[in-house]
Amino acid sequence: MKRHVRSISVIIIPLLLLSLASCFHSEKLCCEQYSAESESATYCNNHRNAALKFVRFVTDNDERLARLGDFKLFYSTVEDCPTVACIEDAIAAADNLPGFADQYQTEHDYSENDTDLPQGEKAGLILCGFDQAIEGLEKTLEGEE
Amino acid sequence: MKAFVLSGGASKGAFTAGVMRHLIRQGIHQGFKMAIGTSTGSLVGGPALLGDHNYLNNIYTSVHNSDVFRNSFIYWLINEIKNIGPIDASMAPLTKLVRHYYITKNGIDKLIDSGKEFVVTTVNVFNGEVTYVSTKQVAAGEISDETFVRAIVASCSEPVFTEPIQIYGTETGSPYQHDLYYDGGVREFLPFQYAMNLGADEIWAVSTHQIKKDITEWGDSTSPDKVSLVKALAWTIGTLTNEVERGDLFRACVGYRLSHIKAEIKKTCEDNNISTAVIDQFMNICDNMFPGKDMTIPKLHVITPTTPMKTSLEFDPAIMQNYFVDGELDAERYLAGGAPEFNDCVQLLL
Repeated sequence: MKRHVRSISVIIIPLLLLSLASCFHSEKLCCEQYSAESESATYCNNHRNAALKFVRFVTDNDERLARLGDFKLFYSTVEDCPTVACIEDAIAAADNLPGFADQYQTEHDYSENDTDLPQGEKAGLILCGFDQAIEGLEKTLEGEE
Repeated sequence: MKAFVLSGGASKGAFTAGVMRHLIRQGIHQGFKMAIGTSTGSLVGGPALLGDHNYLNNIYTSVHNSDVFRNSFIYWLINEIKNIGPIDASMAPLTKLVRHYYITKNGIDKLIDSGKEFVVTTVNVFNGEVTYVSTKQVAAGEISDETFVRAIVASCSEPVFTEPIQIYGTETGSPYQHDLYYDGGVREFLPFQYAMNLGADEIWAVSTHQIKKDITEWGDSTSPDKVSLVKALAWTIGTLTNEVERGDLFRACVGYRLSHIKAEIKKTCEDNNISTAVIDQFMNICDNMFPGKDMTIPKLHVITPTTPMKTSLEFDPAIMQNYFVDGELDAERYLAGGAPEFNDCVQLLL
């Protein structure tokens, strides 16, 4: 009987461990912390898309990787920005992100139009969107042709 | 009447959602009275007709496999090992999502109130017929909201990988109550036919496949001894689906070309003072050679991805946000290029 229990345990315990591991298998990206139906998600995802469009506007994968590198450098200069104005000053000053200021402005205008969020939350949501774009692109770009 | 025709493609539907967002932001969707979707296209169509682009953006870039499928533990384990997607999974999570949008948040009522028609395609597994389920049937009291929700889920239910759906399961008087339905993409990946039957004179189609390239779902190179039955099956389904789509597009394209040929013949005859009686004879010849002679031949626009998409059965936000943005960018390019009509049937044969 004991032997039987032990052999079942040998099978069950690894399966349970695997099952637990699956709970941590799929980490959430930054904007996913907000409900998909919330205005915060809209604001965050729109700004994420501005960063994604900047990188994916070019179709060659090496160019995309180069753009991702440039955007990460830019992000390192704004990640501590407490306000939208701080982020936008940095965007205006960035001269190695061709087209990004326009993509940002388009998505930002739609976000302002479609949501009614407190001013104090906006910078955090924009940076969360940028962070998600970087994380997603780092994960996926190497596998693309 | 203008209609959207939206293809299948599982998680690649994020591309379609991105295309639709751009068209909505440009106000183009306002002139459309109908959308017909297969599989993932049946998820995009409703919000697209309603102009709900933020919903499309937020949902299509945040869902995981567990938001769509529910696997048993053993199938979950197989998926982890084989990494090819869900096998024989329940669609309960997706049903919950769809029900929330269309019933809890009144999506069906909004569509009916808008006067627009949203149609989804499924295939009846007992008789193999393509079954179209429409919001107009709900408006007429022929089917319930729940049945329409089930039809959307059935439209997304891919054979082998997921369970078939009893669309009419709660319609106690229906002769189809116990029938099972699967993804409409088995027979119509780009469901032009219904739009044409209803007299659409302009169709904007979004396909998740590149027209010139086959998508095989094979992925990276694999050693022969590592090729599993499941991988081979996924490849077969992917390849057959690709062929179904090519056939849909080719039929629509041939119809389009024939209508233009007919117009050219008529104009040339008139320019050369050929009698009306002879011209009518020519037109009759054309009509008799085209099986859909009474059908309206619509203007055809097709938007397809510039960047190939590899994964369809994996719902991963990191991947799907790329597909979504690619859709927006490709729609922008398409409009910037003057939104040319699709008429190059030959490239479908190459």
